[in-house]
Amino acid sequence: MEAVRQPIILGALLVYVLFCVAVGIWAMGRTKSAGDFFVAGRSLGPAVVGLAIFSSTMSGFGFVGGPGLVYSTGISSLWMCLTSPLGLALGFYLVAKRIRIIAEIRDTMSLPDVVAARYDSEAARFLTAITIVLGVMGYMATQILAMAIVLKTLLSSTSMFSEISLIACAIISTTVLLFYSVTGGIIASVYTDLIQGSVMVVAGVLVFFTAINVFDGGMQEASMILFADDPESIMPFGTAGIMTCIGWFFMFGLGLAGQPHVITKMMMNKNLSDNRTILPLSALGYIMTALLWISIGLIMRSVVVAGIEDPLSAPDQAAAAFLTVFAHPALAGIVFAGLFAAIMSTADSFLNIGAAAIIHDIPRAIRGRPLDNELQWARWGTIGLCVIAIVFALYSYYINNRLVALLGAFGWGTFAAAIVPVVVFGLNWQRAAKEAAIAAIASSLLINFFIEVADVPIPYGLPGGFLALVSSLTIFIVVSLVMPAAELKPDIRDAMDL
Amino acid sequence: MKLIYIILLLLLIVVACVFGVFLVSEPVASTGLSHPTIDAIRSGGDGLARFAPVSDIALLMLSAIVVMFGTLLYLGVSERRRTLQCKAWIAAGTIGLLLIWWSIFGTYSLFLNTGDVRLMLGFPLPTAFTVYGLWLGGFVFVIAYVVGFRWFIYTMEDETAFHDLVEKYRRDRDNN
Repeated sequence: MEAVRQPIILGALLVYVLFCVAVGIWAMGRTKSAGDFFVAGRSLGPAVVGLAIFSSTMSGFGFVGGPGLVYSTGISSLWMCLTSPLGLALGFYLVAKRIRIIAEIRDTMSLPDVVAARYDSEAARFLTAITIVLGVMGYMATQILAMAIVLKTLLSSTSMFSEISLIACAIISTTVLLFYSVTGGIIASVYTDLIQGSVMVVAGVLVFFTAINVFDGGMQEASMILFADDPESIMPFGTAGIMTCIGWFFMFGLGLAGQPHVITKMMMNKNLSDNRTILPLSALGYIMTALLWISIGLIMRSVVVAGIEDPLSAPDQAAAAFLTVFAHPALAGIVFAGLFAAIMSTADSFLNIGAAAIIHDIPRAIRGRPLDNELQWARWGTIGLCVIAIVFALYSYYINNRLVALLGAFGWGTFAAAIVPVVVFGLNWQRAAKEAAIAAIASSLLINFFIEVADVPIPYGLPGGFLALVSSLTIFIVVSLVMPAAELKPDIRDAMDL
Repeated sequence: MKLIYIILLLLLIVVACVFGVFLVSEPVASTGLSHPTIDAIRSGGDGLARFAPVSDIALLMLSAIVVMFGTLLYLGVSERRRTLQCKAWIAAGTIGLLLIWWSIFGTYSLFLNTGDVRLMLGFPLPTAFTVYGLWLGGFVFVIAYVVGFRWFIYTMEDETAFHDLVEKYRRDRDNN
């Protein structure tokens, strides 16, 4: 069976890639307007939206970085992933209903559209769009790099592609991503998410059962091995400590309500009442996928400290090493396809919201009206964004990783700090002021950039994104209370009253 | 008292806790240290030494965050729909999460002070509360959303009102 391990893994990947291409071709026929391209004409069923929401939340970071973090720091990073049901609940209670109502009444296509409608402010639209573009560039570069590294690892183990370069792998994997994202827009994205999400759930559950059977005594034996080596690693705050964990709990719990690639999908369901199905589906899907994050990291750390396996040269190798040593070849094939799926499902969401910000929101904020033929521009915008992201990704890999690190700072934490107060308070508190929205976005960008550029040391490992989120929430409320209450447009007031 | 003032108060408590963290002394390995024998792995080191200076702050800070999350969830329910059932679900979920947090904190403090460790469902007790409690605690709100959907999230009356609104503003748009 070991002899066919590599062909099985490559075969699973090939099937997955062909599926993505087929969906792109199918979705092209259904994409007739910019509204179809960006929000799927608000016509999607609950299963599609539910799986799309969780699969775009659980990126390649969850499949590669997550197990790596557990391998490296023990239990600490579980404070990121175990908060997901709470985070999704916060997102649905605070955002899902009203964003969908405003999307219908105002015929909006993007999150900045909703922000502009709520605050009656083009400045708020512009700042939200700029935040999204900066965040998307950082995220896209890391996702493309992750795809290229995984593909190179797989292909270079074959005799035919043993000398393949990272650049070639980046171009091959991005071409697939680009093909279905450009042809089918968000329709292709969410329908590939449907399969990507399913693959990820299956991979998560199978890996979990494989992992707990590595030791005869199951997880308890692994826990005792870790405890004997370093008790803190298997205690609730891991090696990173209590303050880091609390910061992550806050950032990843409340922050989900500010992730544009997630909340944009809350505008796409056909019926608002489908939210009743979408939330539990997303929460269950995420938790089942997170089993992989938790189990691989703990088991790999256990086998290494017990001396059963050699230490890894880098924490991010934990998932690949586990699959090589412990997984059945068929399972390894599913998980590698799942890994690609996890990366692509996040990347296509970012491409979509990034293109919307560039060709729809920024021109509207500056010119006061959209571009002519938005659909065509959307496709060109997606290509342009992808090309720039490839350049960033390769530049960071070969020359200097500081640029992507800086843009990477505009990841989860900055989206959370900039967008959570604007959306959460904006949709639920009639007194929320546009000046507060502008101040919150601007301050969050400045705080995050300052912490990253100046490399500010923060005691006890409190995350910079946590400080930015607490600051922006406080600033938002205080500025709104200080400003005189502004009259809301009648349709927005009606939407908020519902 | 308006909900937004409660949220602001809780945020100010969190801000005060952050200032507290900046003011207390920080041990050398507050965020762990390199593993003595294995590259790419970190160790926690002396747990009590890094926990003791910030333990009270941490207890208050996460308690305030949990109550803030409960208050925010309540803010997300339309004012007209904040029924007793809604209040009961959100209060139960928030109190449940608080109890989980206090259990994590209490059992971990006990372990640091006595060295006693008991296993539950494959993990040391404080970790088991974390692994099973955090996501199950969050799931209470997911279940509340599903069960209470037609009671306090999006009632049949809301659905009719929504369709009327869409129709009204579509007509207005068409007329303009």
